[in-house]
Amino acid sequence: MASAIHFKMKSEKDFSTLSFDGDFLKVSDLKLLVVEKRKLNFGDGFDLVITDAQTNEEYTDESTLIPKNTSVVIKRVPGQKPGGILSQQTLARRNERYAEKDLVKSNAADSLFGDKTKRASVAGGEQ
Amino acid sequence: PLPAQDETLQITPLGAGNEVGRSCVLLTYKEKTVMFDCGVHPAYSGLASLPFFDEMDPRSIDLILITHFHLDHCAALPYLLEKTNCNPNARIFMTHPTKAIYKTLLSDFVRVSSNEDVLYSEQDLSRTMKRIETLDYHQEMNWNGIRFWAYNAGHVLGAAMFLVEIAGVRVLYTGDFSRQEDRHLKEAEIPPFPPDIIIVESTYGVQVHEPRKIREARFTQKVAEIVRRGGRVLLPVFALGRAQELLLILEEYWEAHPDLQDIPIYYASSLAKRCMSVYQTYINMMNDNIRKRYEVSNPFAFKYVLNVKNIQDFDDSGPCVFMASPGMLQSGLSRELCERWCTDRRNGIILPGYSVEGTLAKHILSEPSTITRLDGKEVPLRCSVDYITFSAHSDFLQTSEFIDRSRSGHIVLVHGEMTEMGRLRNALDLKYNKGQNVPNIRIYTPKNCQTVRLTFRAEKVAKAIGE
Ligand SMILES: [Zn+2]
Ligand SMILES: [Zn+2]
Repeated sequence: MASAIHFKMKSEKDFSTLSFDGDFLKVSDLKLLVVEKRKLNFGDGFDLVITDAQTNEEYTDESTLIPKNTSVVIKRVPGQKPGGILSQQTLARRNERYAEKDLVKSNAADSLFGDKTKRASVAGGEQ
Repeated sequence: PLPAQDETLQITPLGAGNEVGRSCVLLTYKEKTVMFDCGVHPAYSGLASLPFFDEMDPRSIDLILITHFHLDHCAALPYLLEKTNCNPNARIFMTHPTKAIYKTLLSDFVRVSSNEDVLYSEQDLSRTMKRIETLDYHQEMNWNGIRFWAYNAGHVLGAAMFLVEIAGVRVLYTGDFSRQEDRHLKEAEIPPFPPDIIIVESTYGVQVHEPRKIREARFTQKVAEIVRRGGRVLLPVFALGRAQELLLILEEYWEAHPDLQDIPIYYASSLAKRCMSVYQTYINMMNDNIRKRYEVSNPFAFKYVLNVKNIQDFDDSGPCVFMASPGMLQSGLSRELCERWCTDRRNGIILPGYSVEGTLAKHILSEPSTITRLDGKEVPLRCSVDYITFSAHSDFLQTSEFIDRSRSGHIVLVHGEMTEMGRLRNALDLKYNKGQNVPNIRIYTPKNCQTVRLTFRAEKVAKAIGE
């Protein structure tokens, strides 16, 4: 049976639910799930700080097990915890994912010059 | 004893701290909170491209001031307003042309975001438009004990700097600015009241721009050289802003060189087309040169520039000049043309703007022998690559002149890559703090989420009242 943990990025309005199997979820696994769920993989140089919503206690150790039905508040902060899960895993795959994503987009672009030209004007321009 | 929290003025970049992108700087003082800019990071997408909003309480924001329409200064605003608990009574200001162009640019931003990295919907954007108020340059505003003014920042049409005054303490946020007049824009102003603190962009660090005449000559000669050798010229640009300046320059050059007049200049931007009416409406905010020309005819109705609507209209059979977005070749049309043309020695790419770390534009500046196409294939890079910057950002001379004339005691650097910013800090430090009879100015380079804390004593308030 699937278990749940409720989470909210600190700046978000409401809590969302994450499903997983088992009675506990490791902090490092929670980080990876949140990255996936919030599509944080197209970024770099950040970490997630997780605190218990009831006690305000921070989970500083990535191997800590969080019991199911816990509510947590998550802060996206600059920098990466040395040796932390995000510096190891997610970011190693980042470049591949960029490439995949762009490929998907170029196939999806229905006209070369029209409004839908993928990311035509997105991503900043000249700042 | 530590001063009461109340007496400490705090400045915290949530973005653009030691980086270029996602500009967002918080000012808190006397329990008032002002947010300067609210942009996204061009090298990232989705939530990860946002400023570090989790570092603050959005309910505390009193005022949001947006300097200009570039996405790294405004594109996170609908997210903040719709997806967070942002104070519903917070007021939001930008200039009239910024608001007009903002709407069009952000609709496009939403449309071209893929499902997985979309930050907000077209409906979210529409809902937030009602909340945005406009102000004129120099108009004095007052909200909740915060006085503020916008000043012309040069850079792009409608760009503003903001001067904010809380309890007699004045903070100037420059946004992106340029002190150099060009073909259509005025130079940035020096605000009439000296600020206590300046939060200033440091994009170009200690670099000094080459004189405008030389830069333009180098640009037009390069373009002419490429087309005369039978090549195609690719100019990757952001659809609005510097593109208009480059078109004015090319149009003038074509007019003066009849042998080039058969060579088409293509400009593929339906966005720019939609925003052209804004450019015409706000011609009064541009400089005398363009206003005089407007009395005769519309200077933005170009004779030699062809708008390209779709691929069928574009006959890729010979030399041409093609201006296409995005400006850093991340993807899209400019990337497509780059991949198509880069293997031919006759062709040339001229990069006319600033390139952010991690983009193809930045990469090809290092003269690699090959580039990787979006489909993963590696192809030789044989065409010429030149960098002639037209981006209207302050250089070292402009920034230090600006600081001299503003007579401020504290400088906070933002909007610059770490190394450029560090060099600028050292150069300013040398100028203002080493040696005799120097004014002694404190310089700060906070990283994202790091807070600069300053204390202003009661005499400051007394001085302000006495004026
Ligand atoms: Zn910028
Ligand atoms: Zn800008």
